Amino acid sequence: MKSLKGRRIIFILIIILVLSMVFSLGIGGGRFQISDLLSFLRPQSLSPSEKTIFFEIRLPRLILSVLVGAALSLSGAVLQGLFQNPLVDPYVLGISSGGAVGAIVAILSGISLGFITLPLFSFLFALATTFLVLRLGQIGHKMPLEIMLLAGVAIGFFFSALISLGMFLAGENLHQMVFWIMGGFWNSSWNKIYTLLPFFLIGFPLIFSYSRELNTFLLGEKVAESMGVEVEKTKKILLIVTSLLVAASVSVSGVIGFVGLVVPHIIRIIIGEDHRQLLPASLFLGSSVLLWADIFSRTLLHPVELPVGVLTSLMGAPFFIYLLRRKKKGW
Amino acid sequence: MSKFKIIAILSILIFVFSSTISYSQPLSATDATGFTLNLSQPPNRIISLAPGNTEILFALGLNDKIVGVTTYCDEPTEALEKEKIGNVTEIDLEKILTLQPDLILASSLTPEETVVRLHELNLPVFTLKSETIEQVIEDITKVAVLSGVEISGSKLVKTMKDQLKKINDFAQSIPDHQKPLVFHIIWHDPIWTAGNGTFINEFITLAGGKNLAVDIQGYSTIDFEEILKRNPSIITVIENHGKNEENQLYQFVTTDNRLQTVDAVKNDQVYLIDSNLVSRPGPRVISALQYFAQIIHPEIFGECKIQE
Amino acid sequence: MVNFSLSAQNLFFSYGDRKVLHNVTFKIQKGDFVGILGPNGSGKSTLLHLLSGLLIPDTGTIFISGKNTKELSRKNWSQEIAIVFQETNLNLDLECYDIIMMGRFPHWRRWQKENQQDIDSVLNALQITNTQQFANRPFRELSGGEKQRVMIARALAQKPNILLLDEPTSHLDILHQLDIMRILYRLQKNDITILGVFHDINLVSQFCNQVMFLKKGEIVHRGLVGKSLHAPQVEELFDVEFLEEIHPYSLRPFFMPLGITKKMESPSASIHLICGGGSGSNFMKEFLEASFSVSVGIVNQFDSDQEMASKLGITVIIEKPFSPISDDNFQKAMNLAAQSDYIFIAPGYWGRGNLLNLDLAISLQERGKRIFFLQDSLDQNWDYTEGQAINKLNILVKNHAEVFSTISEVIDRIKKDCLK
Repeated sequence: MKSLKGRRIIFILIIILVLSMVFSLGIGGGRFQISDLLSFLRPQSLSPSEKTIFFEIRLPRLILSVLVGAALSLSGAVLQGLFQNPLVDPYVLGISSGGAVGAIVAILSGISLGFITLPLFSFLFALATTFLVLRLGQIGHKMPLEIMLLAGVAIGFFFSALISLGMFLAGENLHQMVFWIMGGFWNSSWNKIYTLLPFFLIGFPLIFSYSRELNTFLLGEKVAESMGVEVEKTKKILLIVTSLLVAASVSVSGVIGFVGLVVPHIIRIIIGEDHRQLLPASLFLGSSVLLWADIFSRTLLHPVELPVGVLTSLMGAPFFIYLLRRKKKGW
Repeated sequence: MSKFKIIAILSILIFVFSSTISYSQPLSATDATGFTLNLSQPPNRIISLAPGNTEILFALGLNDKIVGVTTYCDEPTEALEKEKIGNVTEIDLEKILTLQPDLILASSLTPEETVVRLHELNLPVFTLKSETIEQVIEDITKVAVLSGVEISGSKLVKTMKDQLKKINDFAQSIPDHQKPLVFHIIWHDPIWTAGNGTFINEFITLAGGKNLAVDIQGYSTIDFEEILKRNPSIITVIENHGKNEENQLYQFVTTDNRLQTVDAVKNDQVYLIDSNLVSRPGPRVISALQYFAQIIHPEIFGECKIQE
Repeated sequence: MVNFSLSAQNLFFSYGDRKVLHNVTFKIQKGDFVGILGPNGSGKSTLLHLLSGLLIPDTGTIFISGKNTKELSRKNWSQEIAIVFQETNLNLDLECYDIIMMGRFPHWRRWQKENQQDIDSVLNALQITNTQQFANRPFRELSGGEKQRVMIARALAQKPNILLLDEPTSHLDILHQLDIMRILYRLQKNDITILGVFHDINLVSQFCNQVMFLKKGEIVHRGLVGKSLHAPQVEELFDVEFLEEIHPYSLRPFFMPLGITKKMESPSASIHLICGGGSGSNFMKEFLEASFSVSVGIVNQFDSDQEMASKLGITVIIEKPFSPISDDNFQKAMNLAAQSDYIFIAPGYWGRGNLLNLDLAISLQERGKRIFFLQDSLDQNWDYTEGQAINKLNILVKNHAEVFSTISEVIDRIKKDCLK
């Protein structure tokens, strides 16, 4: 039975995620050191700087990359299911552009509210963009999704222009903007995790509870509605929840592409379209993918750190092509 | 013809001839792009396309000959009164043409297309691109030659070389293990530092310190963990002029809980560095070096006066 | 008080300015299988959308099992009514069992897991639609007809009291069309009320027990198939001529379109057709299609031309079977033909029985009527009257009867004359 296969795959993905997380604790100095891992288990024996390394740098970093990977893949899967469009990614409503403009405004204005400045501006602008798109895409009480997509594209273009303008005006702050936009986990901290946590703790279960609704969307909105699904309400709730998740993710780690688009497709090829398995599987695979991308970003050119977004695209694309070809040959 | 007349005519000829000889000696130098510029006479209308170049011109006493500078040229303060031809990357070509310069000093920051365009317009462009103190000194010499002020030039160069030698000799006499580990931070999100091949690296090394990021090439990010692992005893923080009320970067370095275990933070050895001081290839590189020397080895060079 | 399963009162609906439904009112009882027919754009689909709650009427009320739909939640509505749409080319990887199980949605609360009742409903639906063998197969591997059955199963899993179907058989081949109609027919036994929009009048007449005609947004007919479904109503609905027969197997009415549009302009000419033995049927058709009015005579009863003429509603003078033409009928034919503009003689066999028809033609010619016939008629092989028929035809020719090669020429000539 297909759902059995699905559950088995999810189980495997969870195991992979846990192992990866443990493994990443031992990554330091550009490579894996088992001694690091073992000493982590005996925190009393650590020097203060080593303690800081583990608990203030490595641990928050791995947790953050896991959470963001989960949020992006889950949101991508949900949006693809809502829009019934395989090209949709978490940034389709212009969230990434909005977030980037927020960060740029924060940088250019020089306003400083402490370290929360950039994430806060980014989050607010990302949310504002989303609500703008949702309003534009609404006709009466309905949310025709094709209109929404177009609104997202239009707003995205507009904000991209603003981003270019911002970069032009940036002067010596240019590299800061560029790096923020490229996305990365270099400044992971417990504060960032605490800010994200409420969104995730509420958002994830809420989204899962709509798995069956998303399945009905596969049959078409009309059929879904005739089966008792409150289509417009479902759209609104899912759009808002995913937007919050994505805006929060973008505000703490920049624009990390590809994960939200490709991971759900990979899962679809392996497991299928049943959202009851697709959603959790995407979440776990996305976490692992981003975690590994971050591991590579830290180790490939050590001690130089690469931007994670570059790595996710480099890793994801060839693998996805490989899977597509396997599917075409009929697996 | 009488002998007197012959001597008179000869003297006049010799006088005229020798005067023309001394003025027809070409002023020539080869710039960083391999282009050799030949000027038939010393320039009277000089345009500078970078703040560092402006400082060089002023230091060589050529201030009166400057007809155009960038909006970033603020040192010395007289530079602020000069005509502006744009900023470092966006240059108003029309303005330059109207100013009719006979020497233009470009830098590594000037966009390539602009330099090419200037060449195409047959303007006398000379590009200065230095990455070490030695190269800066060479550039100053070249500019002096081109401008016909070799004497001022060699005086300035000698002063710089003497001060350089003094610092370097003292610093090199220090055994390696007594050279403090210095971490220079340019930004925190992501952590951005200066590795091998940068001026900062040279300042630190010549001043008798060790650059934490010496194994990285150029300006780059660095793994946060490495900072903790390598544990610098001094951290230098870039300060941007008038950007924030409180220097955000300085706040980060001194208050972030992850850096609390680092020696430099524990011992209050975090110093602000004026970004203009360390990022302009010009006569002030020596001042920058001195500043670093005072930070790194106050026991030799005296207490650093500027501290936050 | 009869408990109506579904009733609508004064429904009005417009898309913007375009009026789609106008004062639609009807009542349907439990267990009825109602077929909705109508030309394109008559509002049939819109009606189903209103009944299933996918659209809200501008004014009017809908009652389902006695409850006003304005008071029903989306979920409750879906527990009462399920709707199946025309089969779409969905390419789903999901297994059919999972798809059918989705039909249980209206019975679930947010975090409720599937229970035995759900499983039973799905199994029941599989059985009724005969789709058990597809349960574990991916949906996209099925054929169109099989997919439609699965969709019906999905609707049945909702355990609705009323099932709506919007052209469920339009894109299917005959085998699957009948399959599905039979499934629906059997559902009636389970007391499920069915309301289906169909494109095929005969599917409705064969399987439904009630029929509803919708034209330009109004109900123009409503009634039992047996009693009130006849050719005139069907013709009125579709503006096409139909032939009504009784299906030999099901004994229900069966309608065959005649390919002649009823909406005739007023006839441009009238022709009296002299024929018999099947020779005239083709010409009757051609003349009617050319918008001429036709009368026929004299033919014997049970002659195929007589039957055709009667079915076509053409005025015809009928002689007793196997009998020679009587004076009485001769006179009747004269009177009838005298009202025509032209007389046309169809090529066919001449025998003693119908020879008088030629005399009819000669008399009519003397009265000044124009006689047309085809070259074929002068073929001696068709004359079984020892030359008498040919003689009469020659007389007609001598007196300026016009002879043509083909029927098209005849029609063209008549049309040209009309234009003058």
